[in-house]
Amino acid sequence: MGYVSARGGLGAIRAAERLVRRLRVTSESSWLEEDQILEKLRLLVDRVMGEAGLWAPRLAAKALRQSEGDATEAVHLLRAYRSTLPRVSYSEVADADHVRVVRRIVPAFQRVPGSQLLGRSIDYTARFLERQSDDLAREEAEKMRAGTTTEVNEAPDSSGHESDDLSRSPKRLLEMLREMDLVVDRRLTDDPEPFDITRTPARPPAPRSALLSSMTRADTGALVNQWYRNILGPDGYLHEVTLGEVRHGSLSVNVTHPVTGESVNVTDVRVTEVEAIEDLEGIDEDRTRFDVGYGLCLGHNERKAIAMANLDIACHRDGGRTQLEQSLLLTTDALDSAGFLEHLKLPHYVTFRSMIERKIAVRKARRRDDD
Amino acid sequence: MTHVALNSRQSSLVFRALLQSLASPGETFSLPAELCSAVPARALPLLALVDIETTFCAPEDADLELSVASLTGSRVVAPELAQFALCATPPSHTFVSRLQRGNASQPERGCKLIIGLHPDVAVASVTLSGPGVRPGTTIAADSQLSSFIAARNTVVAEPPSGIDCWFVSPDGRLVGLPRTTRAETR
Amino acid sequence: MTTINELIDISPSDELLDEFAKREIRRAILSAVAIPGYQVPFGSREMPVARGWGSGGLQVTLAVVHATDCVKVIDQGDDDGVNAVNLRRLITSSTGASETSVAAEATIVQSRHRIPEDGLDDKSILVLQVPVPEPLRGVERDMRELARMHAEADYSRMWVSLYEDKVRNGLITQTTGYPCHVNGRYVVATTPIPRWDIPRLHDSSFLTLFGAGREKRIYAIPPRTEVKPLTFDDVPFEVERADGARCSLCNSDDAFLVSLPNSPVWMCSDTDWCRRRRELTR
Repeated sequence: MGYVSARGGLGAIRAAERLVRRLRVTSESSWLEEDQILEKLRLLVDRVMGEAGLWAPRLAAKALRQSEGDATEAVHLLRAYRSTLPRVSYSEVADADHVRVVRRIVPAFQRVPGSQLLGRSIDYTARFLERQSDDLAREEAEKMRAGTTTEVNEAPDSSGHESDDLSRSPKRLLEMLREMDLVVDRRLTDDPEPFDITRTPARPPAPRSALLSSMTRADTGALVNQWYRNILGPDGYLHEVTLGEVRHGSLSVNVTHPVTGESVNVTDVRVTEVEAIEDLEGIDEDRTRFDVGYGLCLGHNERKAIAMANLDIACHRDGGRTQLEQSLLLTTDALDSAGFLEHLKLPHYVTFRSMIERKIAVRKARRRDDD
Repeated sequence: MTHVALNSRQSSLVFRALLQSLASPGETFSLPAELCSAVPARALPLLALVDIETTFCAPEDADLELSVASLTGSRVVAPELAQFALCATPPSHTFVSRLQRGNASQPERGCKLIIGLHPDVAVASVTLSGPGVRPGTTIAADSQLSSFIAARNTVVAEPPSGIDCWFVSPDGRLVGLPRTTRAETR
Repeated sequence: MTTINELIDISPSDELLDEFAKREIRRAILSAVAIPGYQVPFGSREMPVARGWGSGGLQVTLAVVHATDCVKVIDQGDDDGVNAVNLRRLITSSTGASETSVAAEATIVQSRHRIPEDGLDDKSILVLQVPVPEPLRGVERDMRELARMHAEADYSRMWVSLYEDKVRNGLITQTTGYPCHVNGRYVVATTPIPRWDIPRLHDSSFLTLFGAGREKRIYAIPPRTEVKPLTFDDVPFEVERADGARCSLCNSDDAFLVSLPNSPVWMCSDTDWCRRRRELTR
């Protein structure tokens, strides 16, 4: 075996690792339990699972604790773990019509069959930062748990549904619009295999399933930004849709048993699903109908699903005229973007040396020309 | 014989031989000897490379085709659709023409063809040239192999599309012939 | 209740990639060698190192390496660069391969931005880490158009860009990652290796594999393959030179040197080459 120096490099890395770990696990405050992260930071856990493309709440909680709250770093931990897992099977097709909703709103209509279910949402809660002391906050929480506050003793129904017609899998607004013949029908009839972005990198022009898969695990901020700059920024003009459905609920994931052939439930995931109703008003579009954009992501992440649905229909209407599809497919992944950005911290002195050399060469050439 | 799947270590060894032989076309490399007694040597490349996400065919080799499919999970399809093809002997021009060649946008779709060789009396010397080829490299070919090479040459005549071939003898000797190699028969 | 793990008997391993991932990468590598210079798409997996930090080079190495291999990993030519150290320990601990800093002893060299000055032969595989595999990125933004240009071998925009560079600046000012024509067909991004290293790609004795993890592409230059830097008949291809510069440690002027800022002090970028040169002259 040849000479391998035990110089600074390995020592520096090990020292850094020890420091990070020590400061993380031995700090003064009490141990951060996974359950605390799961329950009290549930939206962050959901966001991380969505961007990792991995349904594993407990692992996501561990990842967030290990990453000290850096969401993108937690996503990296989950995806790298995913890379070590063999693909054992494919699930059966999960029909989103079977999502059991805990929240469902339809902005396009005031009332809808199946009801508007506000659910667990802060949309209409005033954003007041609660500044009472920790002790007071804990005291109030204890009282609520014990059922001794007045709030709990008021009207029992606090979930905000407007009628008694409460279905856990309500009929979609889209179905009703179809019955009214108000929607362009773009449903495929040949049942193509969905594009698997974890096996084949997608580049434009790509099938819609590639676009949707890319967006479903995109960075939340990236999708929101893409949407916003297309609405109001220099990139282009995006029409603001009317939302047809915003749903949050659970969905069964099943596989076919390899021996018995029966459908077996392997887990239930929670998803956020959005349908965006687009008013077609382009020159060569069907002015008598609407079209629909679709958004779906793991966990409860409404702004991501809404952005996704908007961008889905925007990309379809763009029809390849601009580079919107390229932007969505290739610039919205959290790890690709953050990793490449931070790689700038790596040594680049070979390149830098080469650049300086060319600058000197250009000056020499100019001096020669001047002479 | 009962065919067995290759484990991680074995797959790695077979792959390295395939890689080296493709990078040095016409030169002879060896598949691990201990594996050549457990399965027909010509099946080793498929057993090492294919899985649930690939397609292959091994026409006229029904038992082996079934074995490879069940051991690796790879799907049997018609030659026109196969990413990998396995032939016990050099196949006919008709068969070779059916294989996928890819196209200018997706040349990687060209079929990877593995051919069993039982060297007969050599009738021709095939001179090789192109990327990876050491100057002066030749292959001794019997009449069946010579015919195949003529067929193969027509199929690789429009680069970058084409097929890539490996020849495997029963004792595990391996020779690679990527689409970029020019093969001239004297 | 039986868990999935119990059903399929997964034993936790130190491996960074599952067996099927390795197979997919291997299939892509074989395609790459069969089509020199063509960027083969592959299902790039996320690795314990971030995108942009060598995840592609690492995947290629992990797909190729065997427990009997001896691995050298460098960054900017230095075995001791922290990123190289991190990658090397990931590779050796998860595969059992041994390690070395001597290129001639290595069977696999994974490198960021340099080719070792010597030591590579027909037993070696060089794996280069690639940040941006697209050589035409500077002249075209739309990926559909880029795909067409490669498919039709239409590199005219590249030539025009080099010509304009020459006219504006008196010479071609490409620094590292100089675009090269491989086997007379594909133009490739030679990663940010310095121009100094480009001639070693031409008609080499070793196989070079390029791994771009973030962009999800693998390409290859087989040994004994023509590699020509794009230039004009009357514009010679220039490597980096500094008149009179010598390594302050080993005194050589025949290796790629880097300097301290605003200083006449130069050092070999290939630290092991420098070490051996010093030992020779001792």
